[in-house]
Amino acid sequence: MPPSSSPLRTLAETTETLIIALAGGAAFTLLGFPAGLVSGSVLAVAAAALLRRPVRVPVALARVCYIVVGILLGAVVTPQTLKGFASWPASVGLLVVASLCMIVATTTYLRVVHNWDPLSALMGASPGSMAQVIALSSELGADLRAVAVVQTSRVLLLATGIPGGLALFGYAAPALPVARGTDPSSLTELAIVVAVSTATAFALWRLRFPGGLLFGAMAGSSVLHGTGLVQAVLPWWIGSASVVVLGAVIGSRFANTGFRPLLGYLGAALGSFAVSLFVATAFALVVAHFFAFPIANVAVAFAPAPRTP
Amino acid sequence: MVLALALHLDPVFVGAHHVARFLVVTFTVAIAARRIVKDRAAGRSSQPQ
Repeated sequence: MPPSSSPLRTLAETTETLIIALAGGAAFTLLGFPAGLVSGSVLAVAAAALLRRPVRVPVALARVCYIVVGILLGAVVTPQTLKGFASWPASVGLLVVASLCMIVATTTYLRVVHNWDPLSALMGASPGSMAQVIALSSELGADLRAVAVVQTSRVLLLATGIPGGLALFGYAAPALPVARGTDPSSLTELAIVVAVSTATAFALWRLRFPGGLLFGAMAGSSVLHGTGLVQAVLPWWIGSASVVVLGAVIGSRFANTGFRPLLGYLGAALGSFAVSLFVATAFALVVAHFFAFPIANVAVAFAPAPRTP
Repeated sequence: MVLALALHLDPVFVGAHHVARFLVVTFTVAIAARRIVKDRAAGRSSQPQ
């Protein structure tokens, strides 16, 4: 058996990859980047891959993390957010239309200007969940490196640009570190959320639903949280660890990538960001003009960022 | 949401909008991706050998 496939080497390479991802995520978080865990871990592992380090993440570990991230995403749906749909139907409706326009415009841009294949262009254009996009891209054979560069660049540009832009025009207070409160969730509720979400994840996975593990876990978790049956959320360190591992999955796709294609991806990232920002700004201006919402709230609500837990 | 919390914005307003977009985009992208993959497979099978 060649040494490259020995379990010990696999373990060593996986450990090295995860340490690099953790270092990158922790550094970006300490520097105050919103979504720093995922952006930092992606960039750190991608840099290591470009420097020819043997980065890798086992598929089984990635699958576990898809389920964990799905549970976390589902916990965003609360009875309060469901009430919000009814409180602001016009602006929520406009945001839905804006999102669909963003997908169409950005997909078309990536297809026409950068000659991307349809699937990769769709994944690069999606302003939904970055984890879902990564899971789908990996499963369906999209160009994961290209998608990762475009999506990560969008997160970085928005994470740094929105607070700076709002502060520049006096619309928001300077960013403060986000408090990570301790979670008093009961173990029974947690066990219910994990069991139900895992069951729905495997059900959709067996049905070959695209991104079934993540989407199924999210569906189970969001039903439990949205109906108010449970309030339990996973401990922050489990969610953070999963996000770091997913960041490592994305970053490891940069193995055997040259710098020239990387520059091409960055061009696509900047261009597609400009297109999606143009569409989002147009709709945000309409909402800000016709409704009395604070500008800062509208700007962040309409920002074309992929969701990163 | 992280930005909303960090910038002292209304988390329910921002959260409701983000969840709505997230759900719509998640469904749309999953369905569109499935369609693209099917079209790709159909295109391959219809090519002359």
